[in-house]
Amino acid sequence: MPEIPSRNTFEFQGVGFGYEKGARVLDGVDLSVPAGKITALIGPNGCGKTTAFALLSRIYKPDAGRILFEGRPIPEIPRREYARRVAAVHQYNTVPDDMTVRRLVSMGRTAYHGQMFARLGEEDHEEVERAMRETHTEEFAERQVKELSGGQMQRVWLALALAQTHEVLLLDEITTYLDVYYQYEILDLIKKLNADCGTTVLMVLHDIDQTIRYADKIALMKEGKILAAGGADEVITSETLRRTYGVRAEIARVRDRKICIFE
Amino acid sequence: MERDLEKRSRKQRRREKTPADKKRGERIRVVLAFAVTAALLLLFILLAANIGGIKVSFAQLFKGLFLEYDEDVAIIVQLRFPRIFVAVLGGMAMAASGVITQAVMKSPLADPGIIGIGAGSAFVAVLVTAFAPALACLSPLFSFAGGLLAFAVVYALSWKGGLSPVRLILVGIAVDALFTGLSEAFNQMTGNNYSGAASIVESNISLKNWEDVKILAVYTAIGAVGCVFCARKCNLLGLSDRLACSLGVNVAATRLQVSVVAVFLASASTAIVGTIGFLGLIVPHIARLLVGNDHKKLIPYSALLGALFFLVADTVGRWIAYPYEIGVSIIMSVVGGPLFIFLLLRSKKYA
Repeated sequence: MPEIPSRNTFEFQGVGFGYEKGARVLDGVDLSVPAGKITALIGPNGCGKTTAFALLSRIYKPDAGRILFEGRPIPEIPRREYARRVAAVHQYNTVPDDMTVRRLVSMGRTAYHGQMFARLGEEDHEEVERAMRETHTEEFAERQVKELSGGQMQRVWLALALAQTHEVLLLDEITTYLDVYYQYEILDLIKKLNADCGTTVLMVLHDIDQTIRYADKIALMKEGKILAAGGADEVITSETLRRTYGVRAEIARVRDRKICIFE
Repeated sequence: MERDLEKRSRKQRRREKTPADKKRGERIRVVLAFAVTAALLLLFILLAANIGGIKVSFAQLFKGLFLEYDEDVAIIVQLRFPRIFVAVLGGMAMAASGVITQAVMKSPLADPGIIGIGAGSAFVAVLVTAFAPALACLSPLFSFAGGLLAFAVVYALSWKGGLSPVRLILVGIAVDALFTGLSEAFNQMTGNNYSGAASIVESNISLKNWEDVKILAVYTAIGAVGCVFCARKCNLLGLSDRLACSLGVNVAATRLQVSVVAVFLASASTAIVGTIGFLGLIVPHIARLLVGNDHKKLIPYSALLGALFFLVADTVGRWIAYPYEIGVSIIMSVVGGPLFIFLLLRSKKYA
């Protein structure tokens, strides 16, 4: 049972957002993301998870309510200062044709320089190498990103985020496109970062068993609202899964771990 | 063609090499591309100076330029040099503007000469040239306003929760048609009486003088400073908007700043040279094949290659049917169209 944290990295306070007038994608979201923990956001497709991430990445601003980062409303924090603390891996990514892995990962240092004549310093190079080491991407550092396999590419995007910061990571469906081996590899890596560096993680996952295994806190989302949030024991039940996904599921315990069996 | 083959064979050899070799090979290719293009440009400047009724030897040209007065050389300096420099500077500005426009619009098909920016600038430049010829040295600024207007219209109409490349081209072509039509209508209504205005409509650079060179040089230099500030921003815009945003980039502001530089360059060139289609499209395309997508190299190389392209096109137009002349924009279209189709067929991306 995770302890109740004293400090929250993010706090959503009645956050509402819609891409077009009238259609609310987020509708009064209240959620706290504890510092130094792994929080998972789960819910059916189109429930607003990616939109919540877009707000945290400052692509859009909430129409209603506000989001606090360590107690400060996000718009009050300069973009670059924010980017030095919070990094993200997005669901869809495009990359120019001849971009090499090292050059792409180096772009994670953008927030540490002006946008005009940046020259990477020693510290930048160290951080880039460290990020590539941690994600085991250094062996293809000089290869072109578009030549890589899905699993390699996903690790490169993670390396880019880590070159930016180890403090807060936002990960949107980082296991999509990966086979089971790579899914667990990347989740183990994230768990390790969380344990070693105290990285705060907020991630969107689709696999409920993985959520139970890796997340300290789980938030269930549906139709732009948080239905339940807390530890796996209270949040993942037959009842909440039925309400969220409309599926019948049984929760079983195998070797002291909770798993879901869908009917 | 030859360079293309050379490049391809080098590419094949590179496959078997280690990443370090690959990196070095790439650096050599980039340096070579710059050096060869610069040398060709120099060669064509000398060649272009020598095509026409008066012929001088290079020794005579050199002597006449730097050592003593020579009547033939003086005529060349008065008549041919301005045209050559206008072509070089105009080509530079247009090609650089093309690269930057493509970065902003996230579409390799965006060309300021095709999507209406050039036409918008040209229309305002035509009005200024006709009604207020005394403001000639400011005409790039007026055409800048016209270019910004056209750009704003195209951008606003093709934005739908993101830029759609197809929508962009469609809207751009419509805006281009409108402004081109307005310029031509004005030109015909006034019975082609304003020769300065007509030269912009017809993109004719045969009567350019040193005054035009000076104006274009100043504005191109300002644009070049803008490019220096832009290169890294263009690289960031090459990433998806979401990623750029979470890297700490204010995407909307960056896009606006970079667009202003692109429109400024296109307008400066259009105000003096007139609208030139295809240059801003083909040159960056070839440049990408040779030096890659890093804008720190791509922008300067495109500028160099643009200058060469434009000068060659103009020189060929002067020479091919001598003593008659074919306008440079006509040459650009006739050569540029098929060349572009060739590039499209060659590239795997749009096949």
